[in-house]
Amino acid sequence: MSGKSFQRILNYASATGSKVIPEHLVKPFLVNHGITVPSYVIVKEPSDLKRAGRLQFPVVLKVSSNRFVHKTDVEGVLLNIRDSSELKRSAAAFRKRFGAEPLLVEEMVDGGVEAICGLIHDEDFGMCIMIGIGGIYAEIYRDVSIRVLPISKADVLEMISELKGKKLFEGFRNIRIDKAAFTELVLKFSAIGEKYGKHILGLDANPVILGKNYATVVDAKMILK
Amino acid sequence: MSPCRRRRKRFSSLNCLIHPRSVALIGASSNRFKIGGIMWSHLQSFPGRKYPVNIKQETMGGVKAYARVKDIPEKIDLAVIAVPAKSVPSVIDDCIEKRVKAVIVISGGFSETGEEGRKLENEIKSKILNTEMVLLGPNTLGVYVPRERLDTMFVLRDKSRRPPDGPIAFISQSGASASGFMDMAESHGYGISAFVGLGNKLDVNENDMLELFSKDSKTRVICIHIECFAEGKRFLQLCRKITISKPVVVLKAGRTEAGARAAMLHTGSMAKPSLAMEGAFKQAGIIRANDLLELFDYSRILAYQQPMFGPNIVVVTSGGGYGVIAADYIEDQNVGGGLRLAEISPDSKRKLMARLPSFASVDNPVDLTGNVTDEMFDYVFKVVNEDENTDGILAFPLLQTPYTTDNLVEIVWRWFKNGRKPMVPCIIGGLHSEEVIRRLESRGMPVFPDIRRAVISLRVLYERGRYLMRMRNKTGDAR
Repeated sequence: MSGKSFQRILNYASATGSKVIPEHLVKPFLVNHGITVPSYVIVKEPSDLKRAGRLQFPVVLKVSSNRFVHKTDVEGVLLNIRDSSELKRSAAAFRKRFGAEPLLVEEMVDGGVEAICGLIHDEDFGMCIMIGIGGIYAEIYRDVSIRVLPISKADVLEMISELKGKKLFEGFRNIRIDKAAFTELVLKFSAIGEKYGKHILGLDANPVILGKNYATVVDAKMILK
Repeated sequence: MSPCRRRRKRFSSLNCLIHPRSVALIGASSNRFKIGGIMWSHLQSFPGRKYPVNIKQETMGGVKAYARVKDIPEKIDLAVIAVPAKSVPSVIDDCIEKRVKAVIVISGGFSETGEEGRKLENEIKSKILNTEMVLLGPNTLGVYVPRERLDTMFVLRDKSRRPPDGPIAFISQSGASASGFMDMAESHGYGISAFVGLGNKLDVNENDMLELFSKDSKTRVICIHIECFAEGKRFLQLCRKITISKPVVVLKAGRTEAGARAAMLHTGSMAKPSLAMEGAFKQAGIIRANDLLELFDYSRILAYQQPMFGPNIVVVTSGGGYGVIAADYIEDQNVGGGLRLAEISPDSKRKLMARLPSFASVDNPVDLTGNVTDEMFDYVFKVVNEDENTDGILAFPLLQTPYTTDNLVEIVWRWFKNGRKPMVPCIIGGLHSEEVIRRLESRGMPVFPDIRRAVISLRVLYERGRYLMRMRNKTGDAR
């Protein structure tokens, strides 16, 4: 099962010659590895839009293409779409701007705290895993921790304890987030890195939304070697 | 040959780099102003058999010289080569024919100079492939092994002194850092078990040396300065095994950038290779140094002091000002130790109050003020060594106070040697202090002339202790 979703990724890469894997192929791959993502519908034909009706509104519309790695830079993400007629109009507008590229319709994930989890191949040490917390602040302050694979649960806990933002995990003000779910997610990424490290140059989950009892990967990117 | 047998053979050849029974110096000279002459004179301290090889000279200082290494009638364990780069390949041919176990190519003019030099290196590489000979260098100072009195370095001894025999193995990719480090070690009275200069790492690399020194009973700490990893994964693998019994301190200079494609990902742009290395080092129990002074400080503290198994530090001082600065550094996460000021137990406080005069402060920092006597220091060291809330001691035995005597340093020495808890002394001052520091250091006690360096050394001892505790928990060892 999990092998199939990765095979589709390899097939895509060999058919297009692209090392950058679009999100509509990465998300099913993550799901097959037990990672929580928002409910989604992939829209390749206009008729696929009908299936989006089963999603809980509001939803997000994204363009899923190897040409636009950073979707927000090309305004390829539209948040807070309230109903199906608005979705239809937005999808049509996306079609005009991005042509026949697949679209991804996803349920919005509530508030929470943004975290990051990623795999990256290091020239010297091989596959490494990185975590960070605080959304853009993790990026600005470089508040991240890295280890070489494989890692254990104790390693993940130590990584969390190295973050300046570790207080968020222990309950800061009225913020409550699920440390156990995040730890699980990091271990699942570690397992992916070990299994597919031969092929993967990097895998990014950013942001991962952490809530009171969930850790959901909202945006994911993959690059092959 | 099976891989296992090949590894054993390689190990025995590597061993000849530092424990040869016979040495040939190819390019030896009787002219003491030439590199080959300096090296030949340094080689005279080696008590084993040594042979000068020089194509033009028949004798050298009354000893028969040989035109080629193959002409030497005995087996040669180690050949040291100091001839111009372009002549090296043919000398290597001779060494292979002679079945020399190990060669050191001192000569420069190889890949460090450009394409031509790289070609020469590749030529040599293909020659030694499938032989049992190992090659150190090229472009290296070679080795210095005090216990064998083996010295292949061409830096003059009066300009760059050689340290005595001791517990630190020093492996370096840089000749400059090597002579600087060893000169520094000598003047502080620390010994080394061996120095090995890696040079361009054509064949022998840091991983070979890790294997060699992990099995060397004289080596208690392995200290490495490198600019690139020969094989990073293997390096970590070896260190994971070694650091359980011996500390490894690494200065890895030269930052590398993430590839352009990897930088498309957030993880790729944030997870710089230097950050990945930080994580990797932690996992393998490697202590990381950022410059030569740190490499020196961390190696000596780990070689001469026991690990610390908790973060709680007691400061014992006779100068209040030092205590306050030290307290700040102890707790500071960024520029200091990220440690804790110990909360001295009520019982210990009572003991201190019972015997110390009223002017002394029995809170941490314990401040004995300018009226301190030798006996007060001695008593405080005794109490804090027994204090259950204390993991380590930072001592400021001021030499300038009127009622203390020369005996104070003996008291510090005794508690350093016999105390149950690691103690790091910090002595600040001018010429008089330096003399005292030298005296203590020559007896194997690291002393720091700087508060921050003393605190960071305690942090390193704690880093080491914490790693050992974690590994013991992992393996289920009860200790």
